[in-house]
Amino acid sequence: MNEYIKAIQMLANGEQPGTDIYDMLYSHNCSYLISKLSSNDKYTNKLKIENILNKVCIAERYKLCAELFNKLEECHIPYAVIKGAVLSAAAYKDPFIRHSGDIDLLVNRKNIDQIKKLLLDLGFIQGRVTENGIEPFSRRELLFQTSMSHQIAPFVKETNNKLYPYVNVDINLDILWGESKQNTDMDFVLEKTQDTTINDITFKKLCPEMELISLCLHHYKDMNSIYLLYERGLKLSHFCDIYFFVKNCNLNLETLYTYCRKLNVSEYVYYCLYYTNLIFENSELKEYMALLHSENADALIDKFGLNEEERQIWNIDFYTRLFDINMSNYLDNILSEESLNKIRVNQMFM
Amino acid sequence: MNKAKILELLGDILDIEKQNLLEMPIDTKLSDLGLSSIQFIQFIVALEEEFEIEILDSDLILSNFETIEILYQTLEKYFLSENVFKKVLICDCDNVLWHGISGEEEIYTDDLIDKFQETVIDLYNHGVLICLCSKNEPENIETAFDSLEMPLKKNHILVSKINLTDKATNIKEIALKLNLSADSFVFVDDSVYELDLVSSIIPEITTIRADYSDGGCIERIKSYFESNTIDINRTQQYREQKEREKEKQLYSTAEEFNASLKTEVTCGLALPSQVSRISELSQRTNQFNLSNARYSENEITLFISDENYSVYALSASDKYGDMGIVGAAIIHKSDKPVIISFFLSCRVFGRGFEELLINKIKSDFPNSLNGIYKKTVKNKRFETFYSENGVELYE
Repeated sequence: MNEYIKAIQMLANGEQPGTDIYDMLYSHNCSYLISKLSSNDKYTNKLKIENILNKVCIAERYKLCAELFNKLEECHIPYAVIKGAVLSAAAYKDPFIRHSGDIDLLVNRKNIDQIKKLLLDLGFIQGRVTENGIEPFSRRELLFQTSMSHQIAPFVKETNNKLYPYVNVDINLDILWGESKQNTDMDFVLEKTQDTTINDITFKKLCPEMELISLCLHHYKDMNSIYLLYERGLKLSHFCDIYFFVKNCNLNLETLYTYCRKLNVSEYVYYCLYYTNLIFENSELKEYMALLHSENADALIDKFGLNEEERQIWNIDFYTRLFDINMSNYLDNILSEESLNKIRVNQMFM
Repeated sequence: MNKAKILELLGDILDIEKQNLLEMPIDTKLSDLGLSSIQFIQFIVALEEEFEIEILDSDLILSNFETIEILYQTLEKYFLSENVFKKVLICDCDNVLWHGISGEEEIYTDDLIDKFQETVIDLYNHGVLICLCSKNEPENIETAFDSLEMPLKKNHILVSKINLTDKATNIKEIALKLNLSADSFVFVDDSVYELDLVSSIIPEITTIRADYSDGGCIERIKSYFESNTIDINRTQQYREQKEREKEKQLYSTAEEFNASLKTEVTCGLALPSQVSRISELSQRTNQFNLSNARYSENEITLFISDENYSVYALSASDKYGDMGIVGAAIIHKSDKPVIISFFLSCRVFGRGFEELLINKIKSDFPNSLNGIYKKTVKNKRFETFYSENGVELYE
């Protein structure tokens, strides 16, 4: 067994590993697992500060978005806050342990013009933060982000907090990815919500089963998009999110199965569970995998690429690609010129 | 909506001649023409710059630009202000009002067809004229209406053109019969070929493909008639008008004709209860609309309540029925009063009502009167109305 995997499993089971895996965990953004490492000076000196800052940021973000949540409710616009602190609370039972940089809203494309107006009325700007403040995106940049992905260009607003001067809101229009040819029934997805509270701010999140689907699809995209792989490589934190979510949330298997079938996403969820299980080897994960297993699901294993045209087989094993390679160098050598061009175009606009 | 310009912009980006694009079927996929993601963005930018519009985020999805037809549908709403007020819905019958071809195979309706027909009836109840244009034998269509249990009935139909003549010719004849221009028509057919043919011969008509699998089809049809907000049986009015026109042939002057019809006219300052109809008349009137102005209900309300303006309404009735308000004018009161708007329904042309209205205004403003005339293709036959009635043109 891979040395890292053994150490991760021990840590996940409440034991201290014999190997020093701090640097690896830090490079993979696994703050929760790091917090389980005992007597680590690096942790106390560095990560604790980051955690405090993360708390400040999350508090500021939710305070600033409270009015937005109220407006969305008043206008009866369906929405759910996904990822970030909401995921952290569900998976790790602590909204502040998993670091995040923004608030992600999942909404229906048909409501987007109304939501955009709400955000602009509340003082948000579609732009990027520069040393001179918020610089609005050009029309071409806005068009690119909205038409080429299932997100629209992020909204930014200045706060009065010098520790966290800008709040970023990302608007997600789908739980699938821009390249997908499937049409998600977003009315169905956004019916499956429940109220939750962070820092005394109440808002809507997805119900646990839909939240797991959304989480897996998001992570599937990160594990398969040639652009995202090139930029970030594979991250252990993705598998941690899924493992601890399954472990800590009381999921109804039948509901999960029904939703996966309805949305036609079983194979993608299976893919994420499969690789998570390669790391954590867990009976619950295996039970979920058995439920969602299919030929289509098998067909995705050991491959990457978000659509048929760009899908190709990994020629290195999972642990090597997770821990041992520089992904951009690796992809430079195996991707076609067309795929590399696509990555360059994305780098220009995203 | 300038479809030719839209195709020219698309052609520039794809490096395809506009003429070639114009000749392509409207269900041609833009991806088959080689439109890449980057070109898609270039196209959107070109559209926005050329037409000074901003495409909504909700529309920025490739499927909204999948084919030339869908591209037009997506862009339609950005040009709505240019759209002529639609008055007539012309429907093909086979595979539009029912599934199948009457006389050739079993025909039937289902929930989707019923929903479409209910929409048609709703439009009828709001004053839209419903006509049929179908390549079939009249008796086959008659049989279908008699045998199928469906919401739409024969009495909803004002004009039917059921024959084997090409549909463009039939639609032109409907326009002639109703004395309306084809730009106020919406034509619904299931055949892309027929829609293309009609569009190429009558470019000003709006065509919609009847595809009920796409829920947007019915919504698109409705969207063209959204301004028809008043409950009115306009079909009945047109039938009464037909009777008047028959009788008109018997008399040589408007006075004799009006007397024979026992015409009663009321002309005076408009009441708040008449706001909707005056606004609607301004929207619908293209020929005798001297300043070519269109007003919302709010604007008419403001004119009525503003002491600097006078709004006049002319109503008429005769032995065939009550025609309601058929003429209106808005005057800006000042040292030199100006008629800023003067419009009259085409249904009452040749009955002298316009003279009654202008004489009423002149009697209320006896000193000097100016009138705004903005020449258009449609109102040019009334270019001399003000000068013939002693009203100076306002420059």
